[in-house]
Amino acid sequence: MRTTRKVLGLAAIVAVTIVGFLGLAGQQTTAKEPIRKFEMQTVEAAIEKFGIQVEQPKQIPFDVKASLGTVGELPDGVKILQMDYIGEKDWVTVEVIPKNVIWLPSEEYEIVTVNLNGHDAQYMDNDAVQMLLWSDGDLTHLLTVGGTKRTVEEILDIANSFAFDK
Amino acid sequence: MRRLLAVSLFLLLTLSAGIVFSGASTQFCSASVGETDVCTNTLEVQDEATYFTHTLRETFYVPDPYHITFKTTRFQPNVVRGDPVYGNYWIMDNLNSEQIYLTSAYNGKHLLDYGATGITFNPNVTGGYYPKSYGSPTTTLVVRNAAPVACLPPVGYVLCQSYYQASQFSVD
Repeated sequence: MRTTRKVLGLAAIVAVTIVGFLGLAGQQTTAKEPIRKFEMQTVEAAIEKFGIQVEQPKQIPFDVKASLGTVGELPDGVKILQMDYIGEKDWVTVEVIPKNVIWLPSEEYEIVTVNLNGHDAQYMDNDAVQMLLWSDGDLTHLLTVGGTKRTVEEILDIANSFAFDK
Repeated sequence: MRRLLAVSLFLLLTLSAGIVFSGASTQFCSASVGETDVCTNTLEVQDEATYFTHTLRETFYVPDPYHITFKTTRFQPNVVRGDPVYGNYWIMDNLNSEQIYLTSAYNGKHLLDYGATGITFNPNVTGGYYPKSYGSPTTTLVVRNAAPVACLPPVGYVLCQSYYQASQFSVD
């Protein structure tokens, strides 16, 4: 009987130790890899982390209350810079990626070619956000405007304030 | 007694392994030439702003040893708490990663709106696989844990995050 109690006690200690260790490991796994989580920081810190100097929009059609940046990374190591300019009800996001990007056609939107300061850009509206895509050298820019519905001219004004090294 | 101990330990290990891997989001999938397969990738996020799972099911076809075609993509969200929103969905060719395809069809839309039905669309994009040293084609869905307007101070830096749900594809 005494031997049985010892065995049960030892088993309990081993089980608790294993569960504790694996539970801790689980928390670490959830918090870091393999979930690819990218936290927000200042726009300036994000640009520095991105490693390529980029311009920021100088004209935004609402009162910007906060700006946040982050640098995400695709599985092959390609970085995406994301800069958010946020108001009470509206926001502008600029994403910059050092690759050539092709917008896929969709039933959710129509892609329209527009003139951005003498260069071709692509515009679309998916009923949630309005977006503008253009290439400037090796960088592709994606401008996303959310909240209040804007005219295409207003979207172009935002882009013109910093596109092509303005 | 030993058998009881062994069974108990096995059950504990099994349950604990479930905890360890429940958060996995990067999925590796492969198929043989001529085959169509489905790559299922489940992301589970629980943070200060939200608690949701998102299942990404991508049907792909291998026409030859050098290419992978992405035929159908399905998003299936299940939001328990909060209001996460979709970002862009990227498909990257492996040709030195020079070519990236993008759909923004659901950018800015709320996962809550699609919990009942999910979303299905057809990218119809073919990515290169050969040579292997160029890397494999990948797909990545970006999900924000909250809409940008929810990120105003004082919560912004602490609360707002972007999650990348990624899959990588190869030929058997």
